[in-house]
Amino acid sequence: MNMQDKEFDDLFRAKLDGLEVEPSAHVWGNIDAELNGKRDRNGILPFMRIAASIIVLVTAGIVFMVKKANDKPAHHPQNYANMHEESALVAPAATDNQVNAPSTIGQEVAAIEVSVKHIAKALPAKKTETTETQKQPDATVITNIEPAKVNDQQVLAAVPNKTNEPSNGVVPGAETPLNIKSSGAEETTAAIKQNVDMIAVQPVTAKSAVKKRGIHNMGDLVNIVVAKLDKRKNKVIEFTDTDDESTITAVNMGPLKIKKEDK
Amino acid sequence: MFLENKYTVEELIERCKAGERKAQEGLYKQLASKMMGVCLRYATDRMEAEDMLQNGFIRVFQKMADYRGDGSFDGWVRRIMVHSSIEYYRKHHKLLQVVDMESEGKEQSVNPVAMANLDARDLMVLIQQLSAGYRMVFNLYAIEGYSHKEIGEIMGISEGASKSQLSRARAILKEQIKQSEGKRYEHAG
Repeated sequence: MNMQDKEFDDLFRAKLDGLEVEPSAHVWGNIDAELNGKRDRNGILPFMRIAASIIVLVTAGIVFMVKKANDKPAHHPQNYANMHEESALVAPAATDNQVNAPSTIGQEVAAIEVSVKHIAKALPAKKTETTETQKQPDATVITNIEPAKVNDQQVLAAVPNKTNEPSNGVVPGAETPLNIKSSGAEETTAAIKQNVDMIAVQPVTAKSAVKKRGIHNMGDLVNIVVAKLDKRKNKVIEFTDTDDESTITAVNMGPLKIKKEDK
Repeated sequence: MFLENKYTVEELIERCKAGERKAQEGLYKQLASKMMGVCLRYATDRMEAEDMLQNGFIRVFQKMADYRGDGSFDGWVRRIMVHSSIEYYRKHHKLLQVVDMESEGKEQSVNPVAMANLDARDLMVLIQQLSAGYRMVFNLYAIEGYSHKEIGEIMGISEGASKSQLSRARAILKEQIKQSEGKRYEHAG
């Protein structure tokens, strides 16, 4: 019955092939709109990106300011001042390791002509923290054995007020928890040491990287501004150059951290 | 009277490749009715056909640079319409699953005179009433002239499945024609 099938198909083809039916008028309108839509989206996108990054930056900036303002009173202002001088002049014996970092930085800073102020500001802030955490067990040990003898030079030099803190009073008597605590403190000290090392390296590399690249576009400009304001390893926002434009590759807003790793 | 009639199709094509919207509109107006006729065969109704037509033309304009002038432009656009129609069904109906072969029932014979009396609109309705898989295969084979191998590739089914769907589609169409013929006879009598 092949012949019949063929005839059957042919009849359909003869009647339907070449049939013309006028489509509704709105079809061209839809096609036109869709073709336009593609073009418009491409045109608007770059501006949207810039606008979005500016919003992110401003928000991050505000978050930072507020956070910094809240943090400052927590650091003992007097200690802060003391530390500032110390790091520049003589280092106490106990903080040998930490002090290495600032001094090397000092050299590097001089070499690359980065303003010393920035690093000095950034580092002592960090250093107060490290010495504080490091001192705490020391101080407690001292209070435990000879509560009266607090005039140990190290302690005095680094944290004169430390021994007055109520936290010291909690520990005495209990020897075992104290041991655990001090070993834990050693670990944190080691970790902090690492941190300080990293900080020592970071401003230098960041600075030189920016210098090498120069400002080619918005992304570079933002990078430099951010590098000035934000001294952490992970910047609040970071742009990286792609072929012809820069894209956001990292965002760091305290708890929210996004980083696109290259390669 | 129409602006686009001042240009030949070749000129329109060149200007379309340059992305000129007026030329694209001109080309659309020249081909829309013909291509609507194609899409209608793959659709169940006018609305679906217009969606297919719209998607098809957007693809035509996007791929314009690919047309090298070998073969007729109409044929090139038409192939895009067919693919757009099948793509539409793949998206919206997840269809095209192979239907079982219980079709091989009694062979229907249709009176050629009765068929000659059916006009294009009647046949279109018959095709549109077929289930999607049958409709696609019948269109591709009987009207577009694709081979079962090509149909298998386009629809992602086996050659054998294409054959069995085709014969099932024919059987259903013949059955429908016979019924409408009978009804017509009743009305006449």
